[in-house]
Parts: sequence; C-alpha cells; structure tokens
Amino acid sequence: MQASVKQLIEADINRLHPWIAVAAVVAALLLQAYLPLLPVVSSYANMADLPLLVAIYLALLRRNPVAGLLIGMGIGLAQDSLSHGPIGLYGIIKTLVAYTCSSLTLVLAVESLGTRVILVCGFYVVHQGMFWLLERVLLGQAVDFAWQRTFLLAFINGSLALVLYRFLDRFRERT
Amino acid sequence: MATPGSPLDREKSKLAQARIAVLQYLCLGVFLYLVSGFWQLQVQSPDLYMEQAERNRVKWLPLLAPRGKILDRDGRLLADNHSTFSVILSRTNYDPSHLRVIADGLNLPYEEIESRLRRSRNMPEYEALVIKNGLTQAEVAFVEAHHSEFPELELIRSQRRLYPADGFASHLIGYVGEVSEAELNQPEFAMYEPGAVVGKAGIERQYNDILSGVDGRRQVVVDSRGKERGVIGIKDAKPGRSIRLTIDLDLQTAAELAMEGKNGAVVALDPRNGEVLALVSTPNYDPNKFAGRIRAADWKELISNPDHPLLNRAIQAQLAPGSTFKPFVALAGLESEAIDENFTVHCGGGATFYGRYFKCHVKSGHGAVSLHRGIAQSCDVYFYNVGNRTGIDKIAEYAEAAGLGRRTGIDLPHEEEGTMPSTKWKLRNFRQKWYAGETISVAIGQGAVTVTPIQLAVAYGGVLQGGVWNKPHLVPYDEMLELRPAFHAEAPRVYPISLVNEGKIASGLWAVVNEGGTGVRARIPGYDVLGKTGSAQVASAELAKARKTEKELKDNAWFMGAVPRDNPEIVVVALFERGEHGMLAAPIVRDVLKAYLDKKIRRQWTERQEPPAAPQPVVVGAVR
Amino acid sequence: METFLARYRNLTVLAVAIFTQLILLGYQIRSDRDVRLIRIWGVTAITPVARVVHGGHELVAGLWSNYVWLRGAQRQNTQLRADLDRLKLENQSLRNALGAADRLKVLAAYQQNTPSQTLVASVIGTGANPNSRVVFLDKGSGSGVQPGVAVITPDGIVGKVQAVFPTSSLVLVISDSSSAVGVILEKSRVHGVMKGTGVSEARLDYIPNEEKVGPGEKVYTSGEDRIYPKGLLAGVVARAQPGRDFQDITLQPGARLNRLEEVLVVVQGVHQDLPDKMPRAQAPAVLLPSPPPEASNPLELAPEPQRPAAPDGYTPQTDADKLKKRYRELGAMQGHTFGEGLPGSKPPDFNLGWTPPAKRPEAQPKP
Repeated sequence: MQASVKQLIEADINRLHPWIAVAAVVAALLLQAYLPLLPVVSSYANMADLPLLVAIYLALLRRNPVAGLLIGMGIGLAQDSLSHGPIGLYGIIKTLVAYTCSSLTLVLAVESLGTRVILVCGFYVVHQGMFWLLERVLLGQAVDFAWQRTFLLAFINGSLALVLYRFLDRFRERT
Repeated sequence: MATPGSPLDREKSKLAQARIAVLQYLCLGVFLYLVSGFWQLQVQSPDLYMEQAERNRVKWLPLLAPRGKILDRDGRLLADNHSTFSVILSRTNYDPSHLRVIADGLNLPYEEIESRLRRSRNMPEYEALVIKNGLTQAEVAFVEAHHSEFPELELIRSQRRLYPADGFASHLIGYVGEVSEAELNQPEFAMYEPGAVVGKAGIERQYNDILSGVDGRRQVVVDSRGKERGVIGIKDAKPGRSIRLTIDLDLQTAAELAMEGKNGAVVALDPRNGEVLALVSTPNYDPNKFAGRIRAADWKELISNPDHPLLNRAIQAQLAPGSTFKPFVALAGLESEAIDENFTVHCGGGATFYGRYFKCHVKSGHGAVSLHRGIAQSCDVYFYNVGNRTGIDKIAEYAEAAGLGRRTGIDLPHEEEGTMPSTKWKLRNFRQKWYAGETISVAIGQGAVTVTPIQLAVAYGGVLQGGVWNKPHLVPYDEMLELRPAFHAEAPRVYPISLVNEGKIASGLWAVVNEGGTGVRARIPGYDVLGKTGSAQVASAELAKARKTEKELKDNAWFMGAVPRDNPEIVVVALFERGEHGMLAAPIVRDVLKAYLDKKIRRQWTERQEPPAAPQPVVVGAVR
Repeated sequence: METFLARYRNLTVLAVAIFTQLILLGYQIRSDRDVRLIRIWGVTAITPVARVVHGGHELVAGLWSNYVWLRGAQRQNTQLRADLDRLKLENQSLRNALGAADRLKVLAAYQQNTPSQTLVASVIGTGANPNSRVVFLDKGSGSGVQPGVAVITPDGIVGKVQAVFPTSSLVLVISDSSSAVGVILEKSRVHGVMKGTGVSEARLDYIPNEEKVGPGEKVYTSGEDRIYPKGLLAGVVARAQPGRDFQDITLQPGARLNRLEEVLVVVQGVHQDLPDKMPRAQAPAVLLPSPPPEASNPLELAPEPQRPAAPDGYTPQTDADKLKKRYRELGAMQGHTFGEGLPGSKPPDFNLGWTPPAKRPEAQPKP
C-alpha cells in the first residue's frame, strides 16, 4: 500500500515541490490569521478562505484521493486549532472537499484555470453548506444559512483563486 | 448450461458487475449506518440523552409563581410583588469545580450551594435548581459576563416580595424566606423543594398555603450556545391568592407613627366582631431584607439587638398589666358581691396587709375613694382592699373569663399565653399554697399576673360588651369563607356579667379620661372616650436598684382606650415599654382613636352622598 | 478483507479520516472538554511564524517611511550643506523613532498611571474561524497570563483571556455575542450590562426606560462582573430608544476592536473611580472583590446596599408607604407629634383639607 501511494504521487505529471506546498499552506493559515489585523484590509480579510483555496489547489494537483484528503484534513485541523470552536469541524469538511476534488481529477480534466476557478466557487458553497450542516446536526447550533452572502463570497473566492492559482502555477515543476 | 463467450456469459458478467456495485453501495450504506450509530451511541447515548444531548436541545426553565398580595380591609396594598431576577443552576451539566467561584460571585456561602445540591438529589435531574433569588445588579452582571465559563447558570425572571418600607406593620405581615431544611421535614411544607420561598412569620406564615402559588415550568429548545430556539411546552404558574385583612391602613398608620421611636405595641380591634384594626409592635425590622435572602450581618444585628426587634410584642410580650388590671378586679368584686358600689376606702398613701406595708402611687394619698374615683384616679389602696375582700380565685375567675392568661387564638403564629395566677395555678406549678398577701399585689396588676396587649384589648372589649368576647382575627370571616370553604366562624365566648356592674366600670373608665383622671391626655372633645392607664413595674424594686441605667428602672406604660361609651366600636391598647407612666401611653391611643373617628366621618359623608355616586376626592385613605 | 480494503482503499482512508475526526468532535461535545493538545500544537507552530510576520510588518513599515524620507533627503542633499543634512537626518530619524514608539509610549504612560498591574502584549493573530471574535496575543502562561483576566487598551476594554498557551493566549473580544460586561452610565450612574452582538456595535441592557440616556454618554466598567476593574471606559452610547422592558441602547466600544495592535493584559486588577480611567482583571480562578458602593449622593449615607435588579426597572412602593407619608404630612401641618400630647391638647385632625363629597354646609356631623 505504501508503495502504491508513492507510485501514484510519482506518477503525477505536474507537481509542486513539497516545500513550496508546505510554504503555501503555512502562508495561507498565517495570512488568514494575520490579515484581519492590517489596517486597510481588515474588514475584507474574513471574506476569503485562503486555506480552502490552497487545499483545493493541492488536492487538484495531487490527483490522488488519499493524498488529497490528508492534505485537506491537515489544513482543516490546523484551522480548527487556531479558532475557539471544537476541533474537527473544519477538519471533516476540508477532508471531504479535498477528497472530492482529487477524485474529480480522475474523471475531469482540471488543468484549465477556468475549470479550477469554477470548481473553487462550487466547493466554496459546498464547504459553507457542510459547515452549516455540521454545526446544526453535530453541534446543535441553529444558525441560518445565508444564501446570498455565500454565493457572493463564492464568487469573490473564485476570483481570488484565479490570481492565487496563476501565481502558484509558476512553481510547478514539469517532470 | 451456457457456453463460455456466449451473450449469456456477457450477461452474467454484467450481472456480476452490477452485483458488485450493489455490494459496494451496500457496504457504504452499512458503514454510514454504523457511523451514525456510533454517533448516537457515543454522543447521544440514552443515558447521556438527558444529561448531554438533551442539555443542548431541551431545557426546563422554572416559572416562579407570584405570591398572593396582602391587602387591608379597603383593598389597599400592604404586601406586593415586584419583578427581579433569580439565577438557576442546571444540575445536568454543572461542573463541581466551578461552584466555589460561582458561590463567590453570587455572594453565597459555598457550603450552602453544596448542601442545596445534596438536598435536591431526589428531584428529577432536568429540573434546575434556583440558587439565588432577587439578584442585585452586580450579581446579574456577574452571571452575564461569565456565560461562556459557566454555561450551567441561567437568569430567570421572578417575583420578589415587596413590603412597606421601614418595617411598617412588619410583625403583622411577617416575611418570606427560603424554606429551611427543618421546615422541609414538616408536613406543612412537604410539597416544597429546596430553594422555594415560603412564609416565615406573621400573616405570610399563617396563610402561606393561600398566599403561595404553584410554580410552573417552560420546556424550551435551545442550541448549544444556550440560545432559545422554540418552546415545546408551558405549564403555567398558578399565582397565589391574595388575602384581604381586617386591618385598617388608616389606623395602622396612625399607630405606627405614634409608636415611632418607642418600644412597645398597639392593638386596635372592634370588640363587636373581633376584627383587628391595627396591630403594631416596635422596634420593628425591615422584612424586605428577608425577601431575597437575609445577609448574615443583618440577621446577626437583628437577633443580637437587645430590644428584640423580631419579637411581636402585641401577641408575645407577657408583662404585668399594672393598673389596667384594676377594672377586672373591680368587676370580680362587684360580681361576687364582695363589694358594692358604695364601698369606700380611705387612702393615706398606703396601707398594711398581712404585716406588710403597701404603698399607693400617690404618696400623699387620695383621701376617701369610691369605686368611681378609684378607677378614675387608679388608687392602689382602694384596689388592695377590693382584692383582699374578693380573694384571688374570684379575681382569677373573672380575669380568665375575660381571656387574661390564655391565648386569644388570633390567627398569627407563636402567640404567647400570659399568666393569671390563682390558688390552683400555684399549687399546680409550684406545689405551694397561695398566700393571701400575694393577692394584694395581683389586685393592682403586679405580682405573678402577666398579659399580652392583644389579651388586654380583647378582655376590655368583651367586658364593655357586657360579657361577650369575640375571638380576635385578622382575616374577615366572609373572606375566610371564600378562601377556605370549610371554614367555620367561632361563636363568641359568653360569660354573664350584670349590665349594671358593667355600667359602673364603664363610668369609671369614662372618668379616667373625662373627669380629670389619669388618662386626660386621651381626651377627644366631642366624644365619650373610655380609658385606663397602667404603670407596671418591670422588676421588683430590689432588682431595679441593681440595674444601672435609668431607662431600665422606668415602669412600662399601658393605656387602654375605647369609644363610644356604650357598646364601644373600637378598643385600643397601647404598651409603651419603659414609658414611665400610663398617662404617657394615652396620646398613642388617642391618635389611633382619632384616626378611627375621622375616618368614620368620611365614611358617613360618603354613605350619605351615596346616591350621586361621583368619584370622591379623599385626602386620607380610601373610604369603604 | 485485505483485497476489499485494497480495492476500496480511497474510500477506506476517507472513512477512517472522517471517523477519527468525528470521534474527536464527539469527545469534545460529550465531555465539554477541549482537545488542548492539538490546539497547543497548532498555536505553538503558528505563533513563532506569526511573530516573525508581525515583526516583518513593523520593519517594512519602518523601512518604507525611511525610504520615502531618504529620497527627499537626497534631493535636498544636492542643495544643502552636509552638516545641515546630517542634522536633519538625525532629527528625522529621532522623530521617526518617536513616531514608531508612539503607540507603545502611550501604552507605557497609561500602564504607569494605572493602579492595576498590567502586561503589554501584541496582537499576533485572529481566530482563523471567521465566525468567532477572538484574537491571539504574544504573551502566554510563561509571562503570567491567566485565563479570565481582562485585556484593555487606553481607549477602552478589549475582552477577556479565554485560553492560555505557553507563549500565547486567546482573547474573547467584547464584540463576541457570548461576551458581557458589567457597566455604569457616566452621568446617571445607572448600572447595566453591555453585551456583544457579533458585529462591531454592542448592546446595553437593563437600563430602565425612565432613565435619561443620550448619544455620546460614556459607559464605564462597573467592576460588578468581577472581570474588568471598575472605572475603565467600555464604550460610548450611539443610540438609545425606549424598549419593552428596558431601553434599547447601542454602544460603540471604546477600543478599536478591528484594529488592535498593542494591548494591556491586566495581571492584577484594582477598582477605580469612574472619572479616572483605570485597568484591571482576574481569572475565574480568583475573583476580584466586589466593588465599593457608589457614593452618588453625598447626603445619602448608605445608598441601598442591595437594591435588587428589577426587570421592569420601576421603583416599587406599597399603599402603606404612600399613606404613611400623607399622615406624616398631616401631622406636620398641625404641629402634631404622633404618640404625644399634653393634657388638654387638641387632638390631630386627620380630615384636615378633606372636602366632604357634596356641597353641604361645612358642619361635620358628630356621631
């Protein structure tokens, strides 16, 4: 099993250097925590979910559901540990999102930036939906689902992904 | 059956693939089912359902029933309720390690919360415990600010008892408090749970069953942040019933004001039916301090106060009646024919009986004293002689008939009995025979005889009615019938007294006030006020000398007043402790009588004007 | 079984991952306990980097202003003599240093004037969860921060420490909807509770409708919540209007909650009088003493030590109180002292001023 996972990773055509990937994750988490403190962007900082964008990017790149879900879980748990909510909430959601993303790469061509941005929009909605569902079902917190806001934010995150992914693509190594 | 490679074979392999797919989904389904089962079992397992999941979903909040109000005879408020906050502790999810901090924040002793939780073990777990009523602003702020640390605490609205300020009528109304452990074991309080508020004294205690309501509760759905999301069910609280008293607030007020700064008691009642119109005891206490939970310092101050503010002197002070007892001695003498109205004594400032010299309160003496003058001037020597002739047992017979030395049965808790000595009494209690010399002291209301102010008022009222004693009561009989259908009014006690003799006594009492007797300070021009002073030694002369303060040496002052002369409508007894002389208690009674008479004028005017029933401007009090 | 697992490897791993996290969640919910270990890992891993970023930000900001200035200086250099230039440079760099240290200086001055013992801390992050109003500080249990202590700035209170890690701590900001602070209105000295709403403005509760409250009135901490020392600015009234039981009052918090940089953690709080702004704080482990009673009216010696909070905020009185007042007035009007009177004195007339209900001759009937 170990070997086969390795094989699959090796088999990726376009890959990111592991250090770059780690740096991207840490940067995303840091920015998410730090941006709201900066004077100009503070009010907008919470609109973006940078860790989600990075998780989707990496998962799409991996083309391996197992690797994808592990990445998602790692980012989600890290995010949970920095918040004051229960740990595992973001973890579960990001695991599922990342798993679905990497599974999709097996049936869809996700190389084009456009496709990926559309996927980001869709997954953002899914992400928020699951968050809402988990809060409601598992934590018993009756929060309302803000449809309009969610779709608006999905669009914003999609646009952000456009810039971010283009930037990250520069670091991809062709094998 | 089929050859390999045939279409049938392909069919078969297709079927197999489909089966595998079905199997896959089946596995997934089973897996999801197991996961959900795990969630149910581990997170929402049945035993935890109540304790944990339930706490996130359904909560029981008590709805505290307001107590009934206490009204005067005209429906004016004596005890009301006002809204406050209470804090409840959820027993399903409290953390024992939080209790110390919670106790500190709520200014409660930690041991108290602990013992309260222990005592509430028998209650269903979902029922939260009220740990404090009547929160102060500071305590409300504490609970709110620690919502995230102490989710087990919750604020609810409740009703707090509101009493008149400055202890007005405090002994009459009484106060409420949280039911004590000892009370919980009594059948009377069996249906209460720890933390419940019950009547502790006075009317609040006597009629607790009527005044207290039945708490309801609300079952609400909340999310895990404690926000209410809906109401499942409400069991409404059943408010307590209000009680209308016989007390007349106008008279009560006049009596309260007249007793300000004095220690003692005032009782006013209608001898025709036994309705108590005013009942005051001073010093008093502020029952509002009891309404939440009395602070330890306040309680300590109350019980260590040498003046005993908690004592209801109107029904609990057992003191020598002094000269107010003399009319009963005269009555006994007349009725037993030991004396007649022509019986006259010469008072030279004292007289010797059985080898001992007894002084009169007037050193120079009263000269020739008849019954009429004897009562008016309260001549001791005259009554020494009457007592000596009548004998202790006849005196005791009539005094007891009048109700002295026995409980009147007023509807207040802890009434005291007083003492009416007799030969039998002495034999029973001391196994000694009565010495005739003792009768001399008793004849002027000293010695072993002690009475309570309410007894004296009832006794005088009955005598002036010609021997009909109504039981004093604080709730009108018609009101009682409404509140307790099984209630039966007690028939008045009757002891035949000759109306001639009663008239002789009354004429003496009239002279006390209106013929330059000892009670002229109670005179109200235009009215025939009856009265009798009494100055009773607190202790024997030797004991009094041993005490140092002058206040201690002063006699207790008594005054009885009644109006009108024939068939009095009202009898007022005032006790002014250490008042020195009964004449100083007379103005107290006068104020109460005047309040009654003035109100009667207002009432008569109102009744006369009844046909054009326009709203009446009334300056003082309502008119019934 | 092995082949099954191999075949559905992806699904199995997914299931295991989700299942593990579900157990984690379930444990937290069931026990109401935190998985502190994971949190500490996460926080400690991110904190140093956050510190670097924070430092970097300050550095860049400093460099930027220096650079801009330097360009100007160079231009001037061509026209001015070298020594003047050097002096200017010196002057400017000093001023720069001053400007950079300005915030800290204000903080330091405030810290010195405050009777409470405080600790300067920097905000190094916010909660990564957009739904919560929390910030991370760069001081933790190592510096003596305890859970439950107050966090303040000279502009106003910030929040209370909710969790403490070795080198950082988590602060629940007063704008969080689970936050509440005991406060007093500056003018009327009426006590209330300030509650977070999740957005930048806060609510002020339990102020009776009849109290006069206007926009701009300051609201100070009352110390009654036993978290914040008394006398700190909490906010300013933005709007006030009558409500159902109490007034609906909106507050603008004093501290700039969305632009927090340096803050003071109140290690040991001391209550202050209102006019002076003062800090303080405490952990639920140790509560502050109750604040001293308000001496609002100098004539009133003991201003109701235990006035219960009335949800409808009215001053209660019974009929007995009113009647007693009336009788006292009647007595005073006639110079009558209740319970006293010499022989022959005129008894009080309690019908004084009372008008018979109809137009009859004034003669009152004697019974």
